[in-house]
Amino acid sequence: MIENLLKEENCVIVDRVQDWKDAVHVSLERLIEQGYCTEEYEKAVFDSTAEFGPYYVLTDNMALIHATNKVGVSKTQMAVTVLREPVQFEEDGADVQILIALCAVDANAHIDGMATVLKLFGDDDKSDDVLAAKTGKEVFEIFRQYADQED
Amino acid sequence: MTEIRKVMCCCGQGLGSSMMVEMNIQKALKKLGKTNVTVGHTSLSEVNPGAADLFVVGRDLAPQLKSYPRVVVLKKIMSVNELTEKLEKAFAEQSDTFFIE
Repeated sequence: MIENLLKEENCVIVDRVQDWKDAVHVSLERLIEQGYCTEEYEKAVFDSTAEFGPYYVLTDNMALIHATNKVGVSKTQMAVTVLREPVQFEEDGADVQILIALCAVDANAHIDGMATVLKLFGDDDKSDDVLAAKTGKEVFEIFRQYADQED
Repeated sequence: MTEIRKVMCCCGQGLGSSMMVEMNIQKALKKLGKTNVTVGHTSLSEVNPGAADLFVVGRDLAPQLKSYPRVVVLKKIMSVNELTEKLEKAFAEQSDTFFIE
């Protein structure tokens, strides 16, 4: 059930962010406010980025912002931020406009969410649909629609 | 060659892309008609060469698995098409060591 992993009010459209750090912050803000994870988790994303580079940029325009499940995670949850103006996580990197924040308590609890992300951003990429959404509610509806769809 | 019975996907955290690659491998195995193959996902810090017969990683982590005997590297981490093609090659390999990029 995607509704357990992603709330409508946590799907938002934002005009722009200052830089990639701001993008990480904005994407996680709601999850932190609502107690799904803490600021320590955000710090873990920055620490891991320093170690591995932007490992969470998975396609030409989507990033799955996440860190380890061992620091600052209290409950599994996702949030989606669509940026009107793209952001780059490294020089000459992808123009990212879709930020999917994830905090996961273990390696498996978020499987329905990841299955949905695969349907939306796999070979049959649906990011144009997500980018065409006019409201956060429309973004959420797209995620819900593909979550329910059979493979 | 040693039969591939266990495939391990790994990524930096063992939570995001490795889980999606695991799901894609299940689909690819079905397409290729392979049964009796188990698939798991883990993080780079927890993986070791004895953990599986074949390892699948994204391009960014490929250098860290250079010493592993059998590795498939994905350019597009989310692509089931690229994965299926490379898995088919891996299963057809005669050698016990290969690095499919």
